[in-house]
Amino acid sequence: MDFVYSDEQQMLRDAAIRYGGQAWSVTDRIANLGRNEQWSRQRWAEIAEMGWLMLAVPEDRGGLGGNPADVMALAEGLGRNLVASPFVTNGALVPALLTHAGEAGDEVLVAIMAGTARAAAGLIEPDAGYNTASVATEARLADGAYRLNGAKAHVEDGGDADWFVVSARTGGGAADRDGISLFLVARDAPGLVVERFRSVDQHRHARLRLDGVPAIPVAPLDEALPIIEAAVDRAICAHLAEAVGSMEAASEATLEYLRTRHQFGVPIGSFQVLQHRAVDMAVFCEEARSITCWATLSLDHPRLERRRAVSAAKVRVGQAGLHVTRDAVQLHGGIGVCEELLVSHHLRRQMMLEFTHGTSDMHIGLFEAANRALLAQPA
Amino acid sequence: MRPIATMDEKHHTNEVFLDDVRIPLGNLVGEEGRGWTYGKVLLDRERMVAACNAIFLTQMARGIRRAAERKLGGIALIDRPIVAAKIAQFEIEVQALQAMVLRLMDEAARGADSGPRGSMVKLRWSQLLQSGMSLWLGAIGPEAAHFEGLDGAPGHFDMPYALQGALYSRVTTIYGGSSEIQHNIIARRALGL
Ligand SMILES: Cc1cc2nc3c(=O)[nH]c(=O)nc-3n(C[C@H](O)[C@H](O)[C@H](O)COP(=O)(O)OP(=O)(O)OC[C@H]3O[C@@H](n4cnc5c(N)ncnc54)[C@H](O)[C@@H]3O)c2cc1C
Repeated sequence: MDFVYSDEQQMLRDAAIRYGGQAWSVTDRIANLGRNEQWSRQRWAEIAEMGWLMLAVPEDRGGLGGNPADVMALAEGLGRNLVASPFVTNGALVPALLTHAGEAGDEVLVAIMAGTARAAAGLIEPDAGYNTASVATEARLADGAYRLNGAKAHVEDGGDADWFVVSARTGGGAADRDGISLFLVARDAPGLVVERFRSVDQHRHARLRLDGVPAIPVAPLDEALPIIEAAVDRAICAHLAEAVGSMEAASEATLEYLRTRHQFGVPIGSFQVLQHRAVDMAVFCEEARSITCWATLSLDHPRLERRRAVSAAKVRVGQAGLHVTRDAVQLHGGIGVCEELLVSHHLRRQMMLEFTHGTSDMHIGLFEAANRALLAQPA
Repeated sequence: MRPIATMDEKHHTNEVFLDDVRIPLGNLVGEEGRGWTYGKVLLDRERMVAACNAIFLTQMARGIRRAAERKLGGIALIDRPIVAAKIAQFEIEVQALQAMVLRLMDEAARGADSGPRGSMVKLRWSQLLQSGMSLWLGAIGPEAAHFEGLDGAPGHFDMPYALQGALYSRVTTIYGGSSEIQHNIIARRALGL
């Protein structure tokens, strides 16, 4: 990509924008999202039909073998119209987690790509925040099969998942980096309790309790943490791209409002104070897009460099997204907080993205540690 | 009346249509044609309601501290310097605003006109409400995404209030004269620009 999309990536992004514009109109969204299961299933089928769930899956596993920049183009396009289907979780996170999964994983990947099953990842635990190394859930091998005991505090997009990719300990102590493994758990497995939640952005999440749940290992035993971290970073970058698409859409809608809304006999866009606010929004969008490109390009770099870039982008895009969409609502005045305009939906999504795979506070810490370690290395 | 659905999922606004509504003469407030003048007085008073609400920001600070006692990896959030500094900054700003309100009330009790300082209080109160709600929400962590339990699933004890509060707080810089309008008022009436 460098910093410019290829023609193919441009087409991918435009197709996603067109799709969102047609199938996710504000009226349809308000009438159906979270209310009409059939409607949501239909949207998911369309996303599968487009082949978008194949994009990040390697070619030798039946996918299109797209790179992170391809995923960025697609996620950005979907973010423009706030497509609320769990694309990032199914199209980026889960395929990356199943990189070393073998046959058991292939079955799930094939179903995801076909749109016949959905999956999500249970990686964080009660009182552990977003620390994926803090794993107390235990996996025990008995009679040739694994069984899991423990809990997962939050499973992003897990509300409608048929499969869960779950981390559990096969060795080491509760916060050790070694000794973590990855397992596949079916939604209807005995001993699994799934509590479901709706979020203000209409994504549906889950909390898991596991009591002797049968599970299939899908990563090298004891060595899954690096795979988990790399996969989560891919999901973060795809979410950043979605955030960029969303904040740009909110910013453009605001510009349109400034041009057309009249108060005191003139368009409100003629007030210098509002012009400056619009300029700040545009600058934030520019910054967010640039650092998202940079982080996306870092995904194949050595671990510390990747950590520094992805956490930096997570923080800055999070700040930009909140600033832009808060001001988008503010500059729309009273109508800005109304359900019937997409602008407050953009704000709600940006608020929730701040909590997805780590808050800015957490990533500032990760950035600082990685940056310090890199600066200490001999040049 | 038609209800207006808002982003905080609380119902507190309606669209009101008046179509040849007959009103008894005695219901005319003051004189005909002076509605906007009365309205402005009303809005000035409404801004003083913000001053009353400012007193409650201390309670909010306590709520944020309580939420930040949540342990993460064995350490309470509030014991992390980055979180502690943010909460302390919030409390300092709340203290400054309360001092402003007390001074205003002291002067009002002596019969002095507060002038556009009511606007200053509204401005700062709405900003602090928003930053306080963000802090509270931030202290909840991943479970901030659990707005509503489906099939009766039990949610986090601060939900949905923390999120509804955070979303609702956005309207406080819009209603009762938006923050931009408050700036205009202060520029004109206090600074003479
Ligand atoms: C929850 C809620 C409750 C409300 N309750 C009531 C009520 O009880 N009674 C009632 O009458 N109204 C009520 N309102 C309406 C409220 O007063 C208006 O929404 C508010 O005054 C903003 O006007 P507007 O929505 O037309 O925004 P617009 O006028 O379209 O403003 C859009 C943006 O432009 C800015 N702007 C406008 N003019 C200027 C200027 N000259 N200089 C700089 N910036 C400017 C505004 O600050 C805003 O950011 C309520 C609104 C909300 C959200």
